[in-house]
Amino acid sequence: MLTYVASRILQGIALMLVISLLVFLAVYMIGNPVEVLIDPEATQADRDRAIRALGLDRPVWQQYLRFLGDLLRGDVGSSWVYNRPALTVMLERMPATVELALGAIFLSIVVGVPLGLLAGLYPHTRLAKGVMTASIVGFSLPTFWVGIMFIVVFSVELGWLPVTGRGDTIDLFGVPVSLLTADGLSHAILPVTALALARVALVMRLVRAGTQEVLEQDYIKLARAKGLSEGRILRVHVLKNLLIPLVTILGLDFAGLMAFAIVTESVFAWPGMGKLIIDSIYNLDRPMIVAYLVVIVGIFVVVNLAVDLLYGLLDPRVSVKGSRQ
Amino acid sequence: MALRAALCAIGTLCLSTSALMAQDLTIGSKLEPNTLDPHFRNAGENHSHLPGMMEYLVWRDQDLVVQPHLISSWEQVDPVTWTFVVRDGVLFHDGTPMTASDFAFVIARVPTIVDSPGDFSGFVEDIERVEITGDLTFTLHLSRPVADLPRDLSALMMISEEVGLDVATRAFDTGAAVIGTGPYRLEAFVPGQHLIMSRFEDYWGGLPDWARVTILPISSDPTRVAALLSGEVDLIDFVPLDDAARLRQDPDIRVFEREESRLMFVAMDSVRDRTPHVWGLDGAALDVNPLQDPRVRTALSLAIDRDLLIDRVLQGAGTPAAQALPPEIECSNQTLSVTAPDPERARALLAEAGYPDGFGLTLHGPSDRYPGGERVVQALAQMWSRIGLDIEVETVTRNVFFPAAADNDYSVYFAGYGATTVLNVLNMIAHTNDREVNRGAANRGRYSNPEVDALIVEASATLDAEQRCALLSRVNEIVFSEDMGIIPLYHPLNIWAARADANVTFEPNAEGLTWIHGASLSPN
Repeated sequence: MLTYVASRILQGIALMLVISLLVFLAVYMIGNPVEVLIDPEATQADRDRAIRALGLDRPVWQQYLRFLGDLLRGDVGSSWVYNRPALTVMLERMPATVELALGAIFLSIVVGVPLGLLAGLYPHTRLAKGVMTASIVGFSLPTFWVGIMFIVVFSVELGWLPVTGRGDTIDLFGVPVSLLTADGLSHAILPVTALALARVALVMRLVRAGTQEVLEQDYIKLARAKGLSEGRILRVHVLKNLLIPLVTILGLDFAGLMAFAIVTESVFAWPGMGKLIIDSIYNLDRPMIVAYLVVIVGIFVVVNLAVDLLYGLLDPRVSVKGSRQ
Repeated sequence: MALRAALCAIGTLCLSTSALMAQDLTIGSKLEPNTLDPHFRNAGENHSHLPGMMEYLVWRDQDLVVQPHLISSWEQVDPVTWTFVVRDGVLFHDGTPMTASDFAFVIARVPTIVDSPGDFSGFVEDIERVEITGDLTFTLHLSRPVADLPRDLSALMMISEEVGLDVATRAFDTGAAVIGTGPYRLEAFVPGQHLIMSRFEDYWGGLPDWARVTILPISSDPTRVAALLSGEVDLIDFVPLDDAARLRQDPDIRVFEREESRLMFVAMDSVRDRTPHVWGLDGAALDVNPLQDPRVRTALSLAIDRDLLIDRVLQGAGTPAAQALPPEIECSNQTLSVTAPDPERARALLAEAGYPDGFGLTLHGPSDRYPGGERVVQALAQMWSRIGLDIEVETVTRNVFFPAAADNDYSVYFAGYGATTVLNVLNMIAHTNDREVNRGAANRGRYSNPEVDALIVEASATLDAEQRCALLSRVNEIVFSEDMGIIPLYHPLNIWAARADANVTFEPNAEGLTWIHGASLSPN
C-alpha cells in the first residue's frame, strides 16, 4: 500500500518536471516575451535591459537549469508581471476557484443524484423522459453562452443577482471564503450554476444508467425475495453500488473544474486561478504559467490517487496494487 | 466643487445635494494594475488607475500637453540644465508636505528597480545629478541635451521619500508604501477582485468629488456592459464597438468618446530584396520585392476606402488617418490630407510598376489586440483583392504576433502604435530599426529612409519647439505621403459609458486611460 502511494507520488513529480520543461520550450518557441510585456514606446535599449533583467539573454537550456536550481531550493520563481513569487500569487487566487468547483460539485450531487435515481427507478414516466431531455440540453450548451444568458436574464433584465466579482468574504482558518456571507452567496449563485449545468446533466445520466444496471442484478432480486423494504434496498444496495462510478467521475471532474473553470471565471470576472492563467498566457509570463501548470498537475495527481484509494474502500473486490488483502 | 464645500460649511444645503447625489463611484474597468508599485512596470494597466493615488511629477492633460501640477514651473537654463519649482502646500497621504527631496527620491528610485519586464529607467537615464537648491526648488543636470525633459518626467508617479529606497513591491500591494499626493488614498487592493480608494480630504487641488471609488476589473467585454446596464457599476471603459451604438440610444446611459493618440497602420517590408510572404501569379516566390517600389505601396494605400472601413467595420469608432497622430496633437502636420480611395489609379500604378496582373501577399495581424482588428484585416484584404492582388489573411493572438513581427517574420502586417508625442511615434516606427543608435524599435516592417532618419535625429536634438515641429511635419509628409513607407489607416476612438443616475461625467483623454481625475460628479 505504502510503496504503491510512494510510487504514484514519484510518478507525479516526474510528470511535473516534464510539464515544466514543456512550458519552458513552448514559451521559448512562441517568441520573446519582452515584445509583449514591454511598453510599446520603449526604446531598443529599454528592451535589451528588460531581456537581461528576465534572464532571457541566456540560451533556453541555461534558463531551464537555473529554474531547476531555484526549484531545489523551493523557489518556483517570481512572476514577471506581478513581481511577486508566482506560487504566492497563485495560492491567493486558489480559494476562489476551489469555492467555485466545490459549489458546482455540490450542486451536481444535490440535483443530479435524486433526479437520476427517479429517472432510473421509473424509466417510463414523463418525469424520466423530461430529465433525459434536459440533460442533453445541459450537456450541449456552451458554458460561456450559458454564463452570458444568465447575466442578461437574472442580472440585467430581472435585477435579482449581481453580475460580477466575488462579493464579501470572511476568513475561515485564514482563508477568505465568500460562500458564508449573504453577499458572497448571491455573487456565487450564477457562476456556480453555470459551471454546474453540464455536471448536473452528467451525474443525472450516470446515476440513471447505474440504477437501471444495478436493479437487474441478482443480489437485488435476492434482497426482494428476502422481503427487504424498497427503502433499504435503495439505500444499502443501489446507492452504495452507484457510488463507485460516481466517485471516479466527480473526483476527476473536480480536478478538471479547478483547471478549466477559466471560461466561467472570465465571463463572471470571478477572481480565481483561471483568470490568472489566461492573463499570464496573454503576457507570456513564464514563471506564472509554469507555477500554474505544475500545481494543476499536482492536483490531478493527488485527486487521482485519492480516487483510486477510495475505490478500494468502496468496492472490496478492487485491490490496490501492492496492498495486502 | 469648491462652491459646494463652501455651501456645506454654511449649513444644510449640502445635506440636500448629498442626498440627491451618490458620492460613491464604481468603475468597471478592462484593465487592472499588476502591482501598486508605480515604478515597477511601464504598462497601460498600471497607468490607468494608479495616478488617482500617486500623481505624475509633471502632468499631461487630456490633450497630452504637459502642464504644471506638482511642479509649479520649470525653466531650461542651458541645454543641459533645468530648474524646477515645486508646488507649495502639497501634502502626502500621511500628512507630510511634499518637498524637492521627494522628487530627488523618485528619480533615484527608478533605476534601482530590478527584474522588471519594462522599467522606467529610460526616462531618467540622461539625468546626471539632482541638485536640491531649496525646500521647494531643485535643478537637474543632464549628461546630454534633452529636448523635452518635462515630458519624460510626466511618465513617473510621485511617492513620498518616507517609503525609502529599500522598499519591496509587496509593501505597495499591502498598501503601506502607497503614499502619494493624489486625490484618493488606497483603502484596499485585492488583485482580480477590487481596488478601493477613498477621498483624501487634504488634497491640494480641493476636495475630491467622490467619497469612495471602487474599481472592479472586468476583462470580459459583454460582462462589463451587463454590469453597467444592471447598475452594478456606474462607469465602464473600452465599450465594445457592437454595444456602443445601442448605448448611445439609451437615455439612461451617457457615452463619452475620444479619438486616441494612436495610429493604426499597415507596415510593409520595403528593405529586404526578397520578402517571405509575397508571391508571383504562378504561386512561386518572387525574385524581387514589389514592396520596395513606392508606386506599389501607394497603390495599396489608394485601394483602401478609409471612410468605409471606419463606418462599416468599426461602426464609426475611428477617424481616418493621414499621418502619425491626429492633427490636433502637438507637432502634427496641418496640411496632409487623408488619401481618398482610387482603385483605378491604384491599378494603373501597379501596372506602371510592372505588375499589371497583380501579385500575391499574406497580410498578418493580431486577432485579439485591437477592437475590430480581425474584421479590419479581412476588409483590407477585400479592398486589395479589388485592385487585382491575390491576398491571404492570417491573424494570430498578440502573444504570437508581436514577437514574430519583431523577428521580421512578416511581409505586410496590420498593427497600431500609441504614443504621447509625434516625435516618439516617428522615432519608433519610421526611423530605421537600428540597435546601435537605439531608434526604430517598433519599426517591425523595417521601413528605412536616410533622409527621414536624419530629420528625426535632428528633431530629437532641437530644443526649440517650433523648429522641432517643422522638422517632424516634414517627416510626416515623407513617410505617410511621398514614400508611403507606412500606410496610415485610422486613429481609433475610445468609448466610455456611464449611468445617468450615477451623475458622473467623464472627461476622456487621448491616451484612452480611465483616470479618476477625469470623472466628476455632475447632475447632467
